[in-house]
Amino acid sequence: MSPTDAELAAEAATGSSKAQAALIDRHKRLVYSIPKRYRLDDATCDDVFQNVFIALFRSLNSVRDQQSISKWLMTTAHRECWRLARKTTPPDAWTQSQRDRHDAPPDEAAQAWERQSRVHEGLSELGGVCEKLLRAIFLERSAPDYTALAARLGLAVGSIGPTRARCLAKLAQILQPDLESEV
Amino acid sequence: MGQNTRFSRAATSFSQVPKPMTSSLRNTEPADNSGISRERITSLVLGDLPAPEAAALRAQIAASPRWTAFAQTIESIVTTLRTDDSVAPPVELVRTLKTRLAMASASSAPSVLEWLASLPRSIASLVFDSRNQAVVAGFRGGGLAEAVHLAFSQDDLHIDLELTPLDGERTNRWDVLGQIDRNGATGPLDILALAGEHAADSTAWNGAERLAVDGTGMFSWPTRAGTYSLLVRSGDRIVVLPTIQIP
Repeated sequence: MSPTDAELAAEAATGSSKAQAALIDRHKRLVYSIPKRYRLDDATCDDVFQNVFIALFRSLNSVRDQQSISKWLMTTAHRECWRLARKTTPPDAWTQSQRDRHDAPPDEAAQAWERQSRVHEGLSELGGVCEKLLRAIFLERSAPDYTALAARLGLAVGSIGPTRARCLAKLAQILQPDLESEV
Repeated sequence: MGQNTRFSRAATSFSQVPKPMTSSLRNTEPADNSGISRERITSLVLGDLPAPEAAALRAQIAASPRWTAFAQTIESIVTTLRTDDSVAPPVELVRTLKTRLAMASASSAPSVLEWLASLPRSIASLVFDSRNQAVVAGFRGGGLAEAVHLAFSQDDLHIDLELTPLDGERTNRWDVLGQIDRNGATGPLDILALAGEHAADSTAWNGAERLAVDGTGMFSWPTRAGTYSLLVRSGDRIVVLPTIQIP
């Protein structure tokens, strides 16, 4: 069974590097994407990424008691972005939103980011041809060339469609296990 | 592209629950005789079905709350994938962070044993010893090296041990095969083996041997005859199996 965030956090609180690494791997995309969305430069994005996870492992007990790890990470990354952006941008160049203090990302955005993170986690758990197929079809920048994709994955071109449907159904089972008992 | 296949305006949240780490295909045969299946619904959401077939399937789905829920999930996943704007961090950045944290943990964190010693401890009861059963039944016990079965219990934690001689008669080497049943409890699971009856004294734990335990709670521990204690850490507690006499 995949350990939950709470289980990994408990293990990480003992100083387990393995648990810390697992939490980083699970949430790295979620955290790194936030400064990228705010169009911060690469060096600042790297700083936000490191500072947020270092803060997480220093604060694990309070994080576990109060809220989910992913929500904590999003809020902390959001605040860190604003803190660092203000340091690197002269006050007279601040945008209105930078002048307004924002303690957390908007709820709708945070929910969308968390869904993206879960889907990526689900794709990693899916693995194999399904993961490669779904990432190629939905996440690669250029429109997929199904002939080349079929060759790359060792599939018949005509099977791409049905395989895509089967793989999405499997991904749904991973992401919504409570549906498994009913469907 | 098929007709509008929206089943709900509300986006589905994917809850984080412990789930099996498997990517094997589950049985995707239709659950009933209606012709609805997970794959057909997925094809509908993706716009792969001809219009008449799509319309008929939509009607069937609308009549079933469970299939409607599934269709909503697929829609949400497809929408999430199509609007994904997340970015993976550079590999080197992640590696550097992990290294930095590992070094910080090694230098400043209390040792694992110090942390274990702070957990609440209880003593497990020996509830079965096959050597006693052999004596009661009138069979000769001791003397020859025979497999021994022990069972310990403490609250909802049960530990079965099978002691098997490795070298036949008069052996000094034994294999201990253990099975820990936590009755569904989750959380970290560790086992330490300690020579002697010192398990109650945490200062003696520095000499303990950490045993490898798999995800099902099974472990194997080759050792020599003697008296041992086992410390089982389950979640936030320690259960001590004292005085295990390996014949």
